[in-house]
Amino acid sequence: MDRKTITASLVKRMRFSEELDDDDVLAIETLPIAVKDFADNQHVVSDGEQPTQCCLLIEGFAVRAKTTKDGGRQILSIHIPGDIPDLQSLYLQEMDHDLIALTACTVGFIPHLALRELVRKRPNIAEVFWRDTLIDAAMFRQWIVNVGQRQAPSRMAHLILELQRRLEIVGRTKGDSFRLPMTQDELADALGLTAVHVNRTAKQLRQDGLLLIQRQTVKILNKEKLKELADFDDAYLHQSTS
Amino acid sequence: MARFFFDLREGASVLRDDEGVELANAEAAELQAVKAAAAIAEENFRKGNRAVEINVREDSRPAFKISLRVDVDRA
Repeated sequence: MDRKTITASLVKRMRFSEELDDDDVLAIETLPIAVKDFADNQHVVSDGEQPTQCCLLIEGFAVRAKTTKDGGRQILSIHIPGDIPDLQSLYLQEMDHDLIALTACTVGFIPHLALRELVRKRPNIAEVFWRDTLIDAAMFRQWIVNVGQRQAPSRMAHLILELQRRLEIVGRTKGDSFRLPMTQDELADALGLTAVHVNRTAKQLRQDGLLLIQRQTVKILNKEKLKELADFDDAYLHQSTS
Repeated sequence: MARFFFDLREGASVLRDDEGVELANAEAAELQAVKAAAAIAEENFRKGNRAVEINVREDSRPAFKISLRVDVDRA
């Protein structure tokens, strides 16, 4: 896999709302990245580990998750190509959750040493990474409101709209359709619902003409109404081009 | 581990579960069904529907049924 392909989604995402000059992009493209493939459900990084590298998701979907003592799993965030889901490990030594491949994934491992050198030499990139972790926190705030307060249909709608927006930025949507390779059980773990409730909510959204989830493909049928139901405003993603 | 399927009945409407969930045992499936029924009952309560029934299959065999009805007795 060539260097440009490895970092293509990351660069696309970073350039979407930030001013990076060509030297910044070149510095990212020439990072020493070791590419490795993972099977679905395989742990990329585990809770308690002390990684010496960060993971750039190149292809596939991954989740961050935490499993309780009695086996309950909460999916904390969903990750798509171009994300560095464990960027925090650069400064926080020990992983406090798992990073798990949801589908077959291609992951690029960037040594912490190389990333530290990069952010010291290129303040633009340091700011973009810092901003990235702040947006990460903004997404967690929405996630908490979602699982804590929203009714099931709004929860699902919110998750779908957020993913659609993020996938759109890295060029992974076809209009209002995109691939969502999640089982009803995985969606349940993300939404804090049971699988049967997820199944029923998907049916309700379909009957209401808002959203179609079929064979792991999502089609948004009525975006305005879906946004209204989800109380969705993408401002928290801080991805406007203005 | 076994695969459990949760078919949901609300009034005349039946939603069949074709995907199922992998769970440790029947006890875990019961807890899952109760959790689902309670959450769906709460959601339905806002719309005036009061009864939820979940028929659980283990692989292809019927295993058990959970039913929940919310009644409010006003003083």
